[in-house]
Amino acid sequence: MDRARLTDALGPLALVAIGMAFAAGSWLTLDLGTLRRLGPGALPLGLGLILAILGAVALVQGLLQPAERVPRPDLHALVAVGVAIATFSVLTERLGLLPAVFGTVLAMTTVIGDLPWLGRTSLALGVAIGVWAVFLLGLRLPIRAFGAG
Amino acid sequence: MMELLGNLALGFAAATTLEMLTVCFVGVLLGTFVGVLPGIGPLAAVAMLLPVSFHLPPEAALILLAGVYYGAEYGGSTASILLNVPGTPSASVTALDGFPMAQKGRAGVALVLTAIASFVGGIVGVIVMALLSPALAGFALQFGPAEYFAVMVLGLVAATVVGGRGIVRGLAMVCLGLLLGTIGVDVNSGATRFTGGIPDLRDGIGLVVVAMGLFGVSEVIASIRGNTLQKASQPFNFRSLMPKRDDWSRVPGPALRGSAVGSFFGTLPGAGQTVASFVGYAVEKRISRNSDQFGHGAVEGVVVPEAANNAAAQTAFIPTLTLGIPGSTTMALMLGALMIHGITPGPRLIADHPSLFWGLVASFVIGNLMLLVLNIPLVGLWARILRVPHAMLYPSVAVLICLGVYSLRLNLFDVWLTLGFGLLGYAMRLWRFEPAPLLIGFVLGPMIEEYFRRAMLLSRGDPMVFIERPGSATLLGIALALLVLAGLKPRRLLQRLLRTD
Repeated sequence: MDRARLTDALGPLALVAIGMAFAAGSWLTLDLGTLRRLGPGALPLGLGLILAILGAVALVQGLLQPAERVPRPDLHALVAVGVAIATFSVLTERLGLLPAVFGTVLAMTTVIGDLPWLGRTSLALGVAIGVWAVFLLGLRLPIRAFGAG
Repeated sequence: MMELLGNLALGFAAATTLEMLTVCFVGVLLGTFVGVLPGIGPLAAVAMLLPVSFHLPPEAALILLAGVYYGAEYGGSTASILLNVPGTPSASVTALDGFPMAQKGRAGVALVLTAIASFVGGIVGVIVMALLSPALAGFALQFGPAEYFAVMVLGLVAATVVGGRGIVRGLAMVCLGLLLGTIGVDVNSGATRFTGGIPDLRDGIGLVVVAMGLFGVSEVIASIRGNTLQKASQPFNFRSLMPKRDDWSRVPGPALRGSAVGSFFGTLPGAGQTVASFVGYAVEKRISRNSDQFGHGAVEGVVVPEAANNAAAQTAFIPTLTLGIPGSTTMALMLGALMIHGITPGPRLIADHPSLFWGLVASFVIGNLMLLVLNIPLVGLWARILRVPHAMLYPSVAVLICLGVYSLRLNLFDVWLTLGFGLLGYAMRLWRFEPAPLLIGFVLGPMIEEYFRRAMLLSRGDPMVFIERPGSATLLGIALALLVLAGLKPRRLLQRLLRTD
């Protein structure tokens, strides 16, 4: 089996794993109840099993008739957006909302080509000022602009 | 009839307060804006506005979200015509004849005619909605838990059938959505399910978190760099905005036929605007005397799809508001918004909240009028928006996603969770799984479980109840038939229909 096909199989396999995990979790930790009075675990058990079966069918389908290959992920964009959102989370807690917005925009601009650093910082500054005006001044969201929460 | 007039009077009274008019205007304006811009669709826009709508009364929230939704259908045709890049998926049909018209220097005429066709479609859709909804709701009032369960299964099946990635993959996504919906405290028993001991998960995963992650974050990752939107090479020519007399004579018939087709397909869960505009175009091409001009800039070719998709955008509210089954992802978000305001969607909605329902109907009429006024004189302005460097928008979108999620509960855990769903959504894109069935399953999950458990309780544990009761048996039969039909590849059938020659 070639590598592309193996990658392709990972998606359906993940579904089988997730389905089994939900089924096992309901079986082991939740009350299944009776047919008449179904417990909290009944539906997740059934759905988990169905998901696992559907995942298995999708796996077989993929092996029998290979469709398009899984495309290469855009790692640069993936990392940049991940870092941007993480920056928002971390900085809002430590430094306040506006530094967080500034940092998020700056992280996002790293994937946008040919923009000078002055342009990046002014865009970040502009969005931060906009957020302050609309959300803090206008809508009065109870979020700290600067300083740890 | 008198009752309908009374209801409409109530609706207009509710929808013409200053607050509602403002909300409606903001909604349709934003909708046109996101519709014009390719890349940011009505779905992402509605998802991003969900947090805002929680701070409004439920009527205003729904009017705002709905305005964005049908406003985007108006705007969607602009990029189709000028750049051959559809601004919304359903506007892709408009490009077939709209872009050739633009190449012949008739872009202005095409834009004016699409605005008029959209208006006709929208108004017809609203009329159908006002006439049909109370009847359908009255019929559905006889439903018991078994029928409700069956209706929702039907809705979920319809959502998977339209996905186009195969039934198995669609159904798997529905199951995943239903399972994600079980996370948190079970209302029936008080038991905590699948939280892994994380206290932030006790109330379940928020709808906004799932929607923003799956549709917002993953969209940004996927398109921030790939979006090499070619800017229009030549300046748009608006010398001849006014359609000629010959053009006018080719509008009424196609507009009404498109509206009829659109109204019908809009009510079918899972079919939606894109199917409506495709079928409308195919039908018109078959019966039109000018069928040889289709694809080369025929006026009918822009009028029909726009009338159809706008009519469908309005009638899509019928199953959503009367039965509680969302026909599309955007409708699922609207249902979610209602549920967060404590309003249970279903056949009792019209009776219990008349000013909400009829106010919404009235706001559709007002909103469509606003859109007509916004679109015809401002055609040039909307065209200019297309020239804004696109990539500059994404950083702001990322900030709005984070801020929207965070502002709801002032909980940074939600922001991390949104990132998680964004990564999940991006992985799903790579592995060709549709996010739409997942979200619809997630929204309907708690209700489906509730009705299933109640039906089983009433039948004393006999699962045959779902087949023995004629109502639920019929509905489940339709769901099964849909699954079988979907096995016959509806997309291919549709394409064959389009290739009439």
